[in-house]
Amino acid sequence: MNQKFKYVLLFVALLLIQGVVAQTISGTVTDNYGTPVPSVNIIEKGTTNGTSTDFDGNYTITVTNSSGMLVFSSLGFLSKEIAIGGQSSINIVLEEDVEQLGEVVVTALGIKREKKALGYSVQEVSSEDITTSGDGNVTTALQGKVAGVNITTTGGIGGNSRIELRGNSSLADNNDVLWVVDGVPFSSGDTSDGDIWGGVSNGGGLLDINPEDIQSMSVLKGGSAAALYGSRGANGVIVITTKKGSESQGLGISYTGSVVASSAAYFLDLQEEFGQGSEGVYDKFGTSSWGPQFDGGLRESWTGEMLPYLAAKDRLKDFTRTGVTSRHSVSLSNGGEKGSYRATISKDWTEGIYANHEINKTNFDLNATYSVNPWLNVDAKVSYINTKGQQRPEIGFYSVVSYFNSMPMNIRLQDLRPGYEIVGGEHVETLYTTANASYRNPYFLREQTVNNDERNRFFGNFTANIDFNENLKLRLRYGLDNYRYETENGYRYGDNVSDLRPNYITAEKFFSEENMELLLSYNKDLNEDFNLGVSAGANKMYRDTDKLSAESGKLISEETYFLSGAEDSGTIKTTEEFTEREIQSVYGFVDLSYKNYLFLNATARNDWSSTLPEDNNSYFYPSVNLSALVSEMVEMPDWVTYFKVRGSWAQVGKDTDPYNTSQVYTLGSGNFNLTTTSEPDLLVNSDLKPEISTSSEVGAELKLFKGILGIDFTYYSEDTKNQIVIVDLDQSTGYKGRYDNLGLITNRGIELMTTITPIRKDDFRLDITLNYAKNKGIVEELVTSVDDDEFYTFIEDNGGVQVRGTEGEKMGDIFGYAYERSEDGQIIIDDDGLPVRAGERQVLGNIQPDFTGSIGLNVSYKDFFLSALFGMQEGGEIYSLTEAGATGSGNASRTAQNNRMAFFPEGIKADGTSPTQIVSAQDYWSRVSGITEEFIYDASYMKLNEISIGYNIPLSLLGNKGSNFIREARISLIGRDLFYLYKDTPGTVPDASSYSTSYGARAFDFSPVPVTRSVGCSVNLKF
Amino acid sequence: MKKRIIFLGIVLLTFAVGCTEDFDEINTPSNVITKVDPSFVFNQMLQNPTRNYQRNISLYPDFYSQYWANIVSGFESPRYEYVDGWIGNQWNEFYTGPLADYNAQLGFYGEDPAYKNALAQMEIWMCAEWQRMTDTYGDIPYFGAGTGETVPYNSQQEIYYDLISRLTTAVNSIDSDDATQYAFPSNYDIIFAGDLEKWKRFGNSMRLRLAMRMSNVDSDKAKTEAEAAIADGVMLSNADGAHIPLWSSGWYDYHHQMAWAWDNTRASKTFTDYLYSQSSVGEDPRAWKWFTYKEDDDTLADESVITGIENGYNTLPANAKAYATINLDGGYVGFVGNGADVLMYMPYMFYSETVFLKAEAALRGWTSGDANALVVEGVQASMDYVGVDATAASDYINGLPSLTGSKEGQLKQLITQKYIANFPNSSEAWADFRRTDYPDISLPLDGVSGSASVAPETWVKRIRYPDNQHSLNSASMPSMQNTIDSDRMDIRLWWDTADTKTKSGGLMNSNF
Repeated sequence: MNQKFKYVLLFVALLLIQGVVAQTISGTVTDNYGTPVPSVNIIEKGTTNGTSTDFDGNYTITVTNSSGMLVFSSLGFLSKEIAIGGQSSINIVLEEDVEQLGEVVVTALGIKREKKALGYSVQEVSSEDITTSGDGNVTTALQGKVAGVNITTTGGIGGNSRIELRGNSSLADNNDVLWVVDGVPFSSGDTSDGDIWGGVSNGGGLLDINPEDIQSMSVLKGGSAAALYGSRGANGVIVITTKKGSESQGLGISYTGSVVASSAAYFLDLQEEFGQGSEGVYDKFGTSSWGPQFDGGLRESWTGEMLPYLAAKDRLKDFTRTGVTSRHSVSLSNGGEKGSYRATISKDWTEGIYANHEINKTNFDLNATYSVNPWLNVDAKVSYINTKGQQRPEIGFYSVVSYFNSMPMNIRLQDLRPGYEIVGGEHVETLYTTANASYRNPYFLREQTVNNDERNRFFGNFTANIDFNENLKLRLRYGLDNYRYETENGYRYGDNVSDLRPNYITAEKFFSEENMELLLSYNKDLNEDFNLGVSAGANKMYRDTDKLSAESGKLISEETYFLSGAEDSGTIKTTEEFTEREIQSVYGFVDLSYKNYLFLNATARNDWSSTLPEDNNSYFYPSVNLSALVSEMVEMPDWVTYFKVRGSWAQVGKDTDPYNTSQVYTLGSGNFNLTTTSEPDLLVNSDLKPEISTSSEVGAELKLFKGILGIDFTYYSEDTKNQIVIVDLDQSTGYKGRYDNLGLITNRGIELMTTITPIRKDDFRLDITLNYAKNKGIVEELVTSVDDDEFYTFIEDNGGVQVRGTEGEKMGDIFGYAYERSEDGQIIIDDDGLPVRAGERQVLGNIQPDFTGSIGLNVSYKDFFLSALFGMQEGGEIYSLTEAGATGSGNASRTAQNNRMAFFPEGIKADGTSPTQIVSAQDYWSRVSGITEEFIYDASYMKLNEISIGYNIPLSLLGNKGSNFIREARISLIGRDLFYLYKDTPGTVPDASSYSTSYGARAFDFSPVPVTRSVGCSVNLKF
Repeated sequence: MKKRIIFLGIVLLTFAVGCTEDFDEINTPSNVITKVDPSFVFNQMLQNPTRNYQRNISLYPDFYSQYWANIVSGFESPRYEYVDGWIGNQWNEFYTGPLADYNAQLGFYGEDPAYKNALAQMEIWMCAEWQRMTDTYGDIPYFGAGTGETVPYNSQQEIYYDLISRLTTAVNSIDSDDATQYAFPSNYDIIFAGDLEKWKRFGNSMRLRLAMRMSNVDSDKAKTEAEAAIADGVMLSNADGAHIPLWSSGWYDYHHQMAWAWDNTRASKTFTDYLYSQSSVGEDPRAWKWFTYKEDDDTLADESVITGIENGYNTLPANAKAYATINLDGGYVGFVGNGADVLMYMPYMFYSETVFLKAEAALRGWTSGDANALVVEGVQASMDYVGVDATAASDYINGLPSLTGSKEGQLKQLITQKYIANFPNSSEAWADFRRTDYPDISLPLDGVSGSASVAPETWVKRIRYPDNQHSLNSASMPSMQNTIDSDRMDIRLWWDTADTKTKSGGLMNSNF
């Protein structure tokens, strides 16, 4: 007891002594306009003693020498040194660094560079930009935030989304961008897309990235920005830097939480006047809405009951639920002189709008850095991610949306529920008509179809930075991306569509990618004017996947929903798949700067890829770029604060998938359990070369009126040739296609980013960000070595409607059927009185928009802030397959025109005479439903992508206890996809409605899941 | 410092001195083979006709032979429209399937004498499949096809001549006593279970079928080859018939889907009428073996007889489903299978067909046989195969009129019986109709579709070339048919010499 008391005394004494020698200083840091500046670094000069300002610009620091100096520094501001001079309170104003000399961005290979030195456009997105909307999907959270980035989504929550930078450059729809997290490629693999017939949309690997863990994202759009990534960077690269630990004043704990509710909001316009039957005659088992007009009278329904004959309104809406997503993230971070750490745990619970559709996710991230000694610093990052998808919705003609859009309008949800009866212990589907794949009960379907998956991922890196001396540095890095992905599919119950149900399908896949990298850098001021940087590096990438899948065939009963539950053990099939690839690379770059206003950068990389033929597997990718700070070189008018011009040129490439260069046979188990194999459908090509994209861009950056107006303009061009595509073969050759290099696609475009800050008052600030991008992709050449007659390729081919790349034309022409017309443009009517469909398909539109844009608004007033983002597209066409289908079944609202009276469709007969045959509405619309032209809409739209309104709770409001404990508290209301200001499609939306994220699928309005509107709130707390 | 530099050197070496020598191994999958055992492809080749049965057969020859009729409003093919996504598959499946597999086998084993028998079996099968292809389209790419290169189209005559010669050679090269020969495991030869003698008889029967097809266009060659084929030994009994089994655990779009589960088709009235018009006993005892009525809300007034629906409706009557359809419990082996691993059998060549071919050869005076007796034998063979009891069969046969009257008239009687016996082998029935214009088959009830490339009031005579050929190989096509517009479906094939419209008093004057 005595002993302990002594220690306490000693401790108190020490504190007292410290108090005598040290001095505590506090104050507030503001900018020119009086706005508090958070996160300003404050260091006692000549020591490692430092702190940073809190959200309100306040700081407290205890200095050891009360006559020393304090250094205040922050990104975007000029540093300031202040003599302490015994003061205990120092309030300072930091000057904004309008020339942005200090602005640093993350470029290829994770190298941080001053933005002014870059000869190409890089747009960086901050963590706030990504997390404001509470969107847990890092891809969709980028929507509208970067010019020239196009994001396509489908499949509802957890569905696939695809990012495309500066247009589509690939005939084979091979546009995947490379994602790099802390210097290590992050696999976006195991995404899946459905097609119009079915399938499941799964956002795959990118959903694993935790938006809360992101510090910044650099979007490397052009070839020059991405050239150092060689064959993997051809479609652009997104470089993510995650949050690192830093010294904390408080506990170092922060919490972010959000709850967002999403509900189905956009549906096809349906008629509500006519019900079940044909040619105006009621049929209780009818499959379309060509029956009589609703009259409310009692009729025998398909259930056998007498029911009032009325429209069952809002069925799809009532079928769905409000999906609630809640996300919670807690992180602990701290650091000191030697190192820092940050640990984060995040949980996401996401509900889809269909019952049982859920995506749940756990992210655990640990980031640590430690300076072992003056020349060795070690970083380590470890992430564990678990993502589980449950009951993902079916897509295409066999989706819930399709069933409701074609179901006779009087069939009520309450009669379809619960979707089944239990007969003899088995679920039997409740059907409103004879069993048929086209007329299913959506309730049963959701119960019967199983689409579950789970991925466990380990991702991380270990990096050593060695400083040999001031000029020579070495970075060594080992990165690992490893996951196990399991899926469970099949049909839980039997049905009347196929006699092979119930059945069970399961698969598991192991993915692993290793990267070993080194980078040696030398930097030296050659003389007063010249600085030289030279770096050389090497990388070895090895990727390997193993997949094992099994399916049961028909099960004994729904009770035996497992592999060995197969009725006939002979139908249990297992399949294994392996892929392996390796890329070895060496690269280097030179940076030369003159007087800090002229910058030249050249890069070179050589890749050797295992997937290409031995003689063609080595490829060289060069780039060069130049930046000139004109405002530093010549005298500029006063109102020009910053003017930079830049230009660049680069060549990057793409290899192919493994095993495309040699003919091999896979074995399978066929009917009667016989071993089978067959000649592959595709002829391999041992002369394959890598694809080559040559790109160049010029641009200018301007800051005017002391930064009130900022403009960043880019013009780029990209030519992609030697595309590795499967060329359709004349099938009498014995093969459907062959791998070949062909074609030239050019993309030319401009990007304009404008920032305006018209109000920058003390406690009122308004920022407006305008993004504008225009891209035109043209198929310049499309000649194959097989057949020089080849003149187009199908990008998407869905029976009637095709999306083509035609030589000499814009990419993505929509081909479909028009009306047969006379020379003066009148529709030709046949002998049956119906309009005639033209025999050959013709161009009815193109999927490329004229331009895309976004408007971002950020307003802060005192403790309130508001941010809103509007997104838009002008031009481009879309075909509403949804409406065409519903027109055939008499459900589309257009089919109720003129009370469905028989009429003479407008037009003339082929011989020029007037039609004499009157036609029924049913015959007319059934014919029209096959005429593509009728369902082509303008794909232009403008919508409110996201909005958030927040409030920084003043700590004073939290009371004494609170303000001691809580350092920052913020609450926001958020909304996503709240409304469209403009769109042309019939009830549906043009921008998120397709069955797949493939390039050509954009031509189709055919949504598998209704598009939602979301509202919610979020809370940020720092302790 | 020195140490650091040494360390750096080591690290650089480890990284930079990469080696690409193992790239070859990396880029070769570990779960594949590079030389294929013949049995692995043979069992698939034999099942090729069952692939996409719905699109290739149910929607085309089944309607054009009028064994079946469509009951879905607006379907294109019943009124002679071509749909590439339907029968276009037949082209693709044949050329990229069995043909490519067979060519690869010739590459692997063509020089190896131990595979002579196996390759001859495949060769016989390929000849049969080639005939099915050329009889669908007419001139097609043949010599050198399926070897990775685009080749010209060959005339149907050249193809027929070559097929006959290939069949002859293949049959002769089979040596069933040579124990050194590779033999297919019997379960892999899903049609003849490795019985080489049956393969030979099947080969000769195919040769007879090919020869008879040329009866009106090349009668000398037809006669010579028919005689030779019969002399070499054609099928002897129903046990020799070529029937493709459908696995009970597999999934097929065969008649049980189209005519039952999906309600896309019903028996054709044309065919069911023939089941009541031939014998003096009235009803053909096979009628209820093949057909029945599906329990449904709609019923026909008289369900004591089998009544089919007319072919070629555009908009179907509301009670279309009420008409007779497939009998899955009627005992006909083709529709009920073997009760074990075989769900159903798809006929490729009935034994009865060879008997009718012999009957026709006799009628034509090519052989000395008794045409009338052979027709009876053919009907009896069919009755036996369908599972009709002996008394019912003989009552029916006894009620059949003998072949009488003009040669055309006798041929019409013969072909009508052959037509019934060939059910449900619609490809063959449609071919017989195109060659002989018998029996009487109607035009689509609602007329030939305006979108079809068949003139109004005219029968469909072939299938046009698929889109794949028009877009990628039109330069090789016959010059008169190298555009979608000119590639008409009322163009008669080489062996189809007469326009059905010239039929007068129910008879042609083109068959003799």
